[in-house]
Amino acid sequence: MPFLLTPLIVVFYSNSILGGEISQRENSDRESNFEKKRKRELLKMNLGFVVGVFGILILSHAAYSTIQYRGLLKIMEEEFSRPPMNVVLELIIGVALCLWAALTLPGKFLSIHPDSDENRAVSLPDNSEFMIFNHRGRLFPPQIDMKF
Amino acid sequence: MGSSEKRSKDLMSDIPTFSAENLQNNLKVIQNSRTFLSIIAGVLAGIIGFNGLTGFVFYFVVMLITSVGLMAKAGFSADLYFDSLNRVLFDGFLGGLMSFVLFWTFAYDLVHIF
Repeated sequence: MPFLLTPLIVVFYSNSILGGEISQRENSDRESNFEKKRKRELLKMNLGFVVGVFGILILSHAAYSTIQYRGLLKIMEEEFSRPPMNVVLELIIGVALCLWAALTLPGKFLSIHPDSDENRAVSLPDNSEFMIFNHRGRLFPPQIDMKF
Repeated sequence: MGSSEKRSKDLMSDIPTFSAENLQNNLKVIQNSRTFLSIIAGVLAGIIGFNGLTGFVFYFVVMLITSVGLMAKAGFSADLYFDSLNRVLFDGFLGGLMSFVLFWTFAYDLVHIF
């Protein structure tokens, strides 16, 4: 039973860590949109992790019930055609949870349009030290309207 | 100067530009989702006790459900996140088949033979 609580402890601890960082800052009410989005994304990934672990636990419990059901059938000398109805219900619940976790855990889809709001050209590339701007391109009039 | 301006303007509007690293990130997300779900499908097929061709049909059914789920995650508009619709629908279809068969035989042995 305690090992079932550890994912919940992980979730609450990570929430308190994030909350503690913010309260120690001087301008705690001016956190940027970017940090808010990162916290929300981290929270969703933690929740997805907990949901996935629950789904796998439910599936393993269903497997254990099926093993016991097969033992019972061996005693009664009947054929195994399909698992009993409560096991089927457990399987459906477990698969639904795992489906939700599999679609949420790996991460978000990022937009690939260069014009969208989140793909702005402000972020510095890694080789910005090697870039020079004192070349003959300064004589051309600017044609590209980039969002800054 | 005038002709070179026109040429660079045409170039800018002809080539469809998109952020390649975001596309790679999206493809990685799809691949991770499909791998995880093919493992879950394998465990499910082993527990229920599918034999032979029924299991492979089950795998394709689960992959179709995954495609629908990924389309729902992308908001049913694949233009925003991918360059072509075929990528999100049919990208990792056969990649998860090996994992599916592995976990299918594993779960089947665990539940039905031991």
